[in-house]
Amino acid sequence: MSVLIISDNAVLCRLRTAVISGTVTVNGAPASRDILAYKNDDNNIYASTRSSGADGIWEIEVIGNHNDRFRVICVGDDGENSQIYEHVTVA
Amino acid sequence: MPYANLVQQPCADKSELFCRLRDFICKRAGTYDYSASGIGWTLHDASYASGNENAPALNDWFVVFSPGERGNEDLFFRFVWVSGYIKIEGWLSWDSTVHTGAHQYNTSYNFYIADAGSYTLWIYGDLDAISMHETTNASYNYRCAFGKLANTGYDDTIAVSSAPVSAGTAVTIQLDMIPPDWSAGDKIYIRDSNGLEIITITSIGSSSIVANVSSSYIAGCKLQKDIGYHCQSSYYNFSMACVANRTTGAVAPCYSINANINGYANPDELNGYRGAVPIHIVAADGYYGQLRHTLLCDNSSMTDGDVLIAQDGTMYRYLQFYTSAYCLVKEV
Repeated sequence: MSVLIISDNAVLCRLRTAVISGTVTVNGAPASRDILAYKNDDNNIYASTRSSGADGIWEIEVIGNHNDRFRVICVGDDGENSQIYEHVTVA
Repeated sequence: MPYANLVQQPCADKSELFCRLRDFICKRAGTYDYSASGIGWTLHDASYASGNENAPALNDWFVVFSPGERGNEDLFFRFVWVSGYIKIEGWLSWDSTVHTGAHQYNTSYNFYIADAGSYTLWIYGDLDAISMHETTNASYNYRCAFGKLANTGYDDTIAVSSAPVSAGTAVTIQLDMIPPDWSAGDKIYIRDSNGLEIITITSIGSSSIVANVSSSYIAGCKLQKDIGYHCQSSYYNFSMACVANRTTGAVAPCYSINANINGYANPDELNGYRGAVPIHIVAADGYYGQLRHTLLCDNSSMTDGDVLIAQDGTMYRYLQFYTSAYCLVKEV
C-alpha cells in the first residue's frame, strides 16, 4: 500500500469499519427479514438491511470499535415477533 | 500510567456527571467504581456543603493532582460546580490543609454543563493531560482540556534545588542536575508553592547556576525553562490560559487567548485516508506547545462519534464541538 507523507507530524487515518452479521431462520428455515441497527444510545436508525431469503444471512458495515454498542432489531413479519439484540459489539 | 477513556457515558443529571468526572479521573471507587478503569490522578482535596460526596451541589468542588507521567510535575486542577458550568481551574500548588492554592492559571468558566438535563460524558487522558466532552445536553457539543502540553517551545526539563534559595544578587543555586539546554544568559522559571519568577542565568557550573533572585524559595523549589501547563479556557476553538506570562513571569493576569488555530488538513481520498494534524497552541506572545492525544481534522463525510484508525493502529474518536471545530481524540 502506498503511504502518503504529508509531514512528520501529520497523521493519516481512515474510518474504522467493522461488520456485524447474523442469520435469520424461522422454524429452522432461512428467512428474509428487515434488520435495523442502532448505535449506542442514538434512537435514529444507524443502518439497515434485509436478510437473504436464500440463506438468511445479513451483514451491516458499521463504523466503530470495541467501545461502541449496537442494538440490532430483526423485524418480524408484519412487524410482530421482532427479535431485539442489545449491546452488540464489534472487535 | 496507561491512557484511559470513558466513552459515551450517560449521566442522568449534573450530580452524576460531577461524580463520574471525579471518580474516573482519580481511578477510585467513590460514588462510581472506576478503581480498575480510571485514569489515576489523586483526589487531593474536596468540599461538599452537605458533607456527602455522593450528593454534590452548587459551589461544591474537588481538587485533583497528578505528578505527570514523568513523576515530578505539579498539576493541580480544581473542579467547581458553578451555575451553567463545571469550572476547571489550574493551580501550580494546592494546600489541602487550608484548602487554598497558589498561582492559579485559569479563571474562566470553561466546561459548559447546563444545570438541568441529562448528559453524555466522554473523558480521555493520562497523568499528563485530560480532555472531556459533553455531547447531549446543549445545542453544541462542548469540550475542555487541561494538563501539560507536549513539545513546548523551550526545554521543560525540571531541575530541583535541594537547599533554600535566598533572594539576592549573584545567588548560587545548587541543583540536582543541569539540563543540557541551559546556557548562561538564558531565562528560566524558578518556583515553589509560594513564589514564581523568571531569572536569568548569569553563569553555569556542573551542578549549580548563579543568578539574581528577587524572592526567596524553599528547598525543593523547581527551575525550568518552560512549564507548559494549561487549562483550556473555552468550549470553542482552542482558547486557553497557560501558566505564567512567558514574557514577564507574572502569574496574574494570565492569558486567555482566543486564537483560531489554522491547520485543517484536507482529506486524502487516496486509499480512503484523511489527514489530521497536531493542535499547536500559538498565541500573541509565542508558541505554547501541543495538545496531547488530540488531532485537528476536517469534517467532510464524518459523523459525530465516528472512529478512525491511523496507519500505526491508533484509534481516534471523531468529536465535533461547538459550531465548527472538529477533533480526533485518541481512544483505547
